[in-house]
Amino acid sequence: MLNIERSYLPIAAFFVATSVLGASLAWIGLNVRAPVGGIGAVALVAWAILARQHWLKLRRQNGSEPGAPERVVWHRFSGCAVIWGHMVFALLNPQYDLHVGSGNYLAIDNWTLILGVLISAALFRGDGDIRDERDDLIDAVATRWGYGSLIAFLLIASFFIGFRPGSGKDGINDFVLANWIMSFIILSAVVRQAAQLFGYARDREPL
Amino acid sequence: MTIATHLRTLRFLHNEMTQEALAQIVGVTRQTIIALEAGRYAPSLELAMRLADAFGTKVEDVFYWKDGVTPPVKTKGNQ
Repeated sequence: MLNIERSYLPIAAFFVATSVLGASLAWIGLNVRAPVGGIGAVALVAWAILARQHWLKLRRQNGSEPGAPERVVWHRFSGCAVIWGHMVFALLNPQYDLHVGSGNYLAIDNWTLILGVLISAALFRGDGDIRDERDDLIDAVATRWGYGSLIAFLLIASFFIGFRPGSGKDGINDFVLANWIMSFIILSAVVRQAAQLFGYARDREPL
Repeated sequence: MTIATHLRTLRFLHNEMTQEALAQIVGVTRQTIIALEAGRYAPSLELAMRLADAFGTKVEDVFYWKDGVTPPVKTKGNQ
């Protein structure tokens, strides 16, 4: 029997926490009227370093650290979730936009966060060299989830874009719509990575 | 999963070989060995043969049907 609480809840909780961190960064940036994406980028790199230390500790203790491909997915998952949280907070407050109404803070933050993800990924690039058939199987299943979720999100987006009242009258301009579509793409990447992590977590459960 | 394995016992009998050492010998990640031992993953024929070779034994000495008999082939009707 799969222990859902032990397998899935930590992953879901991690997603919520990182998304909230992204949203908080957007909120702070709007209130202090300065780009604070650097804080998020530093937090992502710091988390990556702490996670690596934690996994090394697990390795020394009882060799129970995640495999290399799983560690890489954790890094991607954290980065995408922070960026998604940041983006969605801005988009749910269309008066802010990503550029208009509050300077370019949110846009600069968003790109700074992406830079943070790239740096953290580059730091640990070597960790993901070893792959085997099980990683590929989990990857394939996760890709199906990612693809399915992307299609579902785009169908929903198409419905709302198609039936929304006159373009621009609701404060949602084409730029915001484009960013909503980007957020759906990022969310589908998050779904894919979460499916991978669920796959690894499930495999660790004894039958 | 209807396939079980003697991997843990075989490792123990071979100088208490670690999961990591076995993983390196057969060219997989240690997590795959953990999944195999937990009965969560059925390996490819190639990996099964590599594992058997690592212990100098036959595939059927490493893997076996859990209930001792070959289960019926799954079809849409009996899944």
